[in-house]
Amino acid sequence: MFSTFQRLQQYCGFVSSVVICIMAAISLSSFVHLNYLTPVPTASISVDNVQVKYGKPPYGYNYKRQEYASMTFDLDADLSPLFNWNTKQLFVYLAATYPGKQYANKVVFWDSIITSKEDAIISLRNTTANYQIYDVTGKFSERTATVSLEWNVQPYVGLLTFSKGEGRSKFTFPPLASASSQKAR
Amino acid sequence: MGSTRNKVNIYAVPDLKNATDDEISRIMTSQGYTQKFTLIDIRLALGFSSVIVAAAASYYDFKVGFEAAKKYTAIGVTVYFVLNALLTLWIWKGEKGTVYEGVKDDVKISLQSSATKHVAVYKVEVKNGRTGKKVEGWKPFTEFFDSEGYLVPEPLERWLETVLEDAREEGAETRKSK
Amino acid sequence: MLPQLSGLQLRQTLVQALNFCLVLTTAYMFWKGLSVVTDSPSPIVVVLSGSMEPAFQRGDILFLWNRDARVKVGDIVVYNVKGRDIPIVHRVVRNHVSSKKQLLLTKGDNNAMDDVDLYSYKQYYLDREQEVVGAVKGYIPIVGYVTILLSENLWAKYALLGGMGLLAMVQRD
Repeated sequence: MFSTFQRLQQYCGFVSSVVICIMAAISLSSFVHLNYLTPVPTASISVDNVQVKYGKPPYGYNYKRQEYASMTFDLDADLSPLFNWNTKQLFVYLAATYPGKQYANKVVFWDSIITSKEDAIISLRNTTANYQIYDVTGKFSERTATVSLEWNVQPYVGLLTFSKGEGRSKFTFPPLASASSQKAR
Repeated sequence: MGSTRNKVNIYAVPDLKNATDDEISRIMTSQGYTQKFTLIDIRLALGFSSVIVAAAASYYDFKVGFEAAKKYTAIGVTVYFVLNALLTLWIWKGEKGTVYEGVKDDVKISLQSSATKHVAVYKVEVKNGRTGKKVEGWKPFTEFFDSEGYLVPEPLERWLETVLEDAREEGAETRKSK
Repeated sequence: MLPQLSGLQLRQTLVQALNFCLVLTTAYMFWKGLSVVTDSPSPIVVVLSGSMEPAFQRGDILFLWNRDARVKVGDIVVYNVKGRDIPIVHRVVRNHVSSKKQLLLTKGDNNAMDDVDLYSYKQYYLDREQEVVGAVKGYIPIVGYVTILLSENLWAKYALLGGMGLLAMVQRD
């Protein structure tokens, strides 16, 4: 009667407290592990075959005709140290940072989702970037970009972590409609 | 007395204490005391003023939207929790477990009750407001609750009468009476 | 004796009413307090769609933080397109920042295309200040699924609130 209800209440309260403690322990331990006990992975990146064309960018819903760029790249990185007991997935991407008169710019031209430790060792050769990128001004104007490998660790429970790898690469956007390949390392 | 009584869970000390506390007010009134509601009124004033603050903050936020109301929402939240902290402090330190306060023949009596967890004993401390005399007393709940969980008022009344008499006596010592 | 008792009964009813109100107002004030601290109108959101799978599933809970003046590429943000009420939780894939504003392009991990068709007509970027209501900083799986069930049965929501209030009245301390 009374006592059944009260006992049920106490039981639910107890279970909730236990679950909360477990979640706190998992998130705290993995946070410490990722940020203080794991060495920062290095990445070896080289971007080649950058081409700038004019027209409607093939990727995306932006229908304006403007300059867009495509490229291929090589990538070597070992991200397996990032997988611990609380890692649900790794969202990895290559981003190009380049300056501008009005805006500083950073765009992602390739990304991938890694869900297990075995898949975390990346070794790609001559891979085409999945996203053709366009600039907010519509022109690239032969600017130079710095490329970095970055990632977001998605936990099972707790704080999301965002970080980048050691190792940078540079490339320059070629002038429009020239299919010249620029090798940069 | 014949009025509707609630069945109390005799295995739960807090329930027994609460039911006894409720009965105390009725007994004191039948003994000719006029209850002073000051303590309860302060609790109600503090509590409801915090509710009004919360309601006002929520209304303003609802009307003008989060961004515009932000500053006032922050103020409202702070005031609310300060008032609630004061309320908690008041209940803890100000009321101090006082279950009844009343006056008869110019003598103010305040009655505090307590019951320890898992110990089925009702403890009472009666303070004479005029002389400052304090009388402590205790009785097991079994003496005024029957096996079904109904409160039997007569033994409680009789015991309380003796405690009150003791407290109203003009004498300087504090005594423990059973 | 009667007026005495009715004064007492009135106050006892008021105390019970107060306890009921305090349950509701305390919950609401905690929510608003969190809102002010994170500077986000809705600091905790439940994932409603599968567009960010496999990272987020329907029913997961996200904790937002809106005090970063600039968000970063790779961050997951919650935004409301101007004029639309549905918040969208997607990842920032492009960022153009000037001294005055930040323009973002977003995309759901599980979507093939970026979000431009979710923005307004002729809008190709989001404005961080105007449209982003927070960046996702924390995550709890599954627990929020209860709210999805509740939102799909309106009466269940009121039943839950009523039950909580009732509990506060029935319990004495």
